Amino acid sequence: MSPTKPPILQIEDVRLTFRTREGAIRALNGASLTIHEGEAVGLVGESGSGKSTLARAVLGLNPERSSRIEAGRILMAGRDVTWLSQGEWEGERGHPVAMVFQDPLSFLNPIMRIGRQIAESIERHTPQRRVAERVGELLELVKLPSSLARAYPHELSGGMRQRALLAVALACEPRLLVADEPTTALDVTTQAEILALLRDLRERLGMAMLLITHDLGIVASACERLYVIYAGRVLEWGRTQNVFAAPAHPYTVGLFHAARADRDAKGRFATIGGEPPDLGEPAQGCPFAPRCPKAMTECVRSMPDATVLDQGESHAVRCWLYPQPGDAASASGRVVGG
Amino acid sequence: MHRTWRRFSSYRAGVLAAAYVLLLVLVALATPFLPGPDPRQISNEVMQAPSFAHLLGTDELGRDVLSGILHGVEVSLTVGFAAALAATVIGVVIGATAGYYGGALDLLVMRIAEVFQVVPSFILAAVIVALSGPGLTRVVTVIALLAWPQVARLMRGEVMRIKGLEFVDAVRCLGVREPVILATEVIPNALAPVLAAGTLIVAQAILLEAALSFLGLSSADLVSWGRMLNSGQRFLYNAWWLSVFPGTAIFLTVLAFNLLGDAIGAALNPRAEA
Amino acid sequence: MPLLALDAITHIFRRSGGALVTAVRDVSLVVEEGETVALVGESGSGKSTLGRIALGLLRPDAGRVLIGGKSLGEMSSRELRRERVAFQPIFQDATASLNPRRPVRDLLRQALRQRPAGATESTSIERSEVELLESVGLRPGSAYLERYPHELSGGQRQRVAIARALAMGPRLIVADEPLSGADVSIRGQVLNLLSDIKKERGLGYLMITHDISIARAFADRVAVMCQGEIVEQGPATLVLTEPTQDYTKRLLAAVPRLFQ
Repeated sequence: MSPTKPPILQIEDVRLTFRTREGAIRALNGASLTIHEGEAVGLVGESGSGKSTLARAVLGLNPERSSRIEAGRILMAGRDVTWLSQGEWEGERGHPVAMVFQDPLSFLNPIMRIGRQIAESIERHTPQRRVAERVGELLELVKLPSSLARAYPHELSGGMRQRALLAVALACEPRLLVADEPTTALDVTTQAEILALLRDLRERLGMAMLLITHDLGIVASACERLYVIYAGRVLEWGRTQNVFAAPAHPYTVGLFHAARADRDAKGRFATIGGEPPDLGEPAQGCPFAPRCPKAMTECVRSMPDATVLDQGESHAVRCWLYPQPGDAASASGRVVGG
Repeated sequence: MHRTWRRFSSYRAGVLAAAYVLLLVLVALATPFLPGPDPRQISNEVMQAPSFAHLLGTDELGRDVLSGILHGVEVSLTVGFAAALAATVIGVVIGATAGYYGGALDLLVMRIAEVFQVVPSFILAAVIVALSGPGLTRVVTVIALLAWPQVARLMRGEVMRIKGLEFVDAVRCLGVREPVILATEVIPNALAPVLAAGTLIVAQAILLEAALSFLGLSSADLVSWGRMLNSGQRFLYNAWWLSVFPGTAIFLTVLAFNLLGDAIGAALNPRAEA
Repeated sequence: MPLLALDAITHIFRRSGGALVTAVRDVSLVVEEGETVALVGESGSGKSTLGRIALGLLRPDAGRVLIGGKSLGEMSSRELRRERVAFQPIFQDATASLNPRRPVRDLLRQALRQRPAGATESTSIERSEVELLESVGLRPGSAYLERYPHELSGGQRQRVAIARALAMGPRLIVADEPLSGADVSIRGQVLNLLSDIKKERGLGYLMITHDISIARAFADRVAVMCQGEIVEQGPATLVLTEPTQDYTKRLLAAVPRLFQ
């Protein structure tokens, strides 16, 4: 963590509930996350973990009618945006945050040429002359030939569409780019190209990035820090290399084994037992406890505070297996905001 | 099923329409037992404006308008349901076969369907009935013949989509025969939009029957809304109730079936967020 | 005699515009009894088309598909229906591969009813829906019988799809991206189930995947497919560690590493 740079995004203990006919879905149960200017942060989770809900909350994209932030706050460049209405968001979007999605086709207008869509994005955020010139620059930035300005979305390949959507997002000159599974629908070779492009863009534009993914491999190749989210709670976070070198939470450990298709001593593939969490039930303790091989009685009762695992305060976990901040035994442990 | 019902019930207009249609069905079933005068009963009280004795007035032969409208429900619903049922069955069978097997059969069926859709249906119906003579069965047959292509087109599209889905391939790999796959796997999953379309055809049929009887092309001795409207329009300026009430009955009923069709279509669409 | 032999298969699609696309070009591939072959490639490489041809769901424009030495193309439709039950599919999206209107009991009963007469004589074969469910780890099986696919989790759905395939007593399972739809934490469960099945029944797999880690963990042999052709094939350990072809090298290099 580089404490010299100010945070661009702070999510503090956010609780978010969806109202459905089947009852309340507690999508976020006190999730916290900080991104500093220029930093690339990965948010890793499986389906139902709340990772996309969290990303959408950053841009006020969760449906106003059926979702509600019950507690916590979201600060963007120090400004509280937790309670912005849909209308107020309209003016906010794209600056200082922009978002790209897994499926670019649903966010590109099918009957409008790519160049026009980029131009509209430019005009909406920074009215200026020389728009055409800027469109050319943006296409060059995402490494698309300028001739594609005249193409329609359906004429492009999956990788090109993702680049085009990136160009639309970059037109607003965001200081934070939120990318929700941007490469999941793509082939491995195209995925590698897009990840390289994202790295390159961040370096050139000094832009921060929140990359939402289920794929630890992508985090390894694209992010400086990562957060592991499960059932709407962040269970572990830290510098990518630290977490990869010594994953602390049993869930993170399980994820690593499963992702590598590791085998145990008996030759079985590593697996996390049990079923994904039921977000309809209010979680008292650690949401992973029912599936955790190391669960103890405390785990079911309450959620532990964060334990810092190294002197640099770059790696922390919320798990009862680690000394709690108040414990006499813990020399280095103290609470930090996640 | 529960989910479908919940989605349906969240469309208030659909629920209201369903209640109205249910009421109509009850009236139609109770036709022989309806209180009040026989709608064919001629009396001396001619051209009476609505009053307590005759809530919706009487016509030029002293027949009670309310009674006529209530008895007319039977004709409208019979025509509507019979025509829609026939059109749906024909359309489902033809559309599903064409969509599933494709090829020359598909091409032929779709050309025929196009012809039916291009020809103005009302004029065609009027010509056929005029040439073959009036009668309720003929009216139903003509409407069904005109309406099946809509169902067939819809069914064909759905079947073509569904036959490519993986669950159909999975069943094919079990060695199940093609006609059985079509009947038990594909068609049941394709019926939802067709059901909605069928409801819309009920509305079209009621309207078409009314129009035909308005032109005197339906059965002369039947009590029907269209026929009432037909005889009432001559007195539009001095006896408005003879046109307005049957007209309103047609309008409300057609509207109800349209709303119902829309609600069913929306409720059966699992992707719809209610 | 190989279990499945694809002999010089070519398949051409006609695009809606009328343009012809060769999805599979002169591909030959053999799966021996009890062997696991991974067919690795990116989307559009033709690997799924080849899988559908192996299952008899698509007829190739050229070449032959041989089941135990007999050519599918020369069979009558009745014979084809009888023979091809030896090959069962598992698809990527278990949601799409189960009829949403049938409860689990129906889905399995449908398969049990279709199973060939010879298959029931084998002792390793389950006789009822409950036995089938328990053989894929859904215990107690009776608890799942009345559920509809949408009432199951992703992992449970994939298990039901596998149970249905097992009902036919197959000798080869063609698994098209069976893990892509599953969460990371479920992957191990499905992989274990698939390898248990293999061990218990000695059946073969044609595993179609874009995921190198699965090919590495699971396959005896690997065939790498690119633009409709198999560019390299051989023992998994060899192909995935010392690839000879440029395309295979690029594919391996593109996979993000969990440890640098």
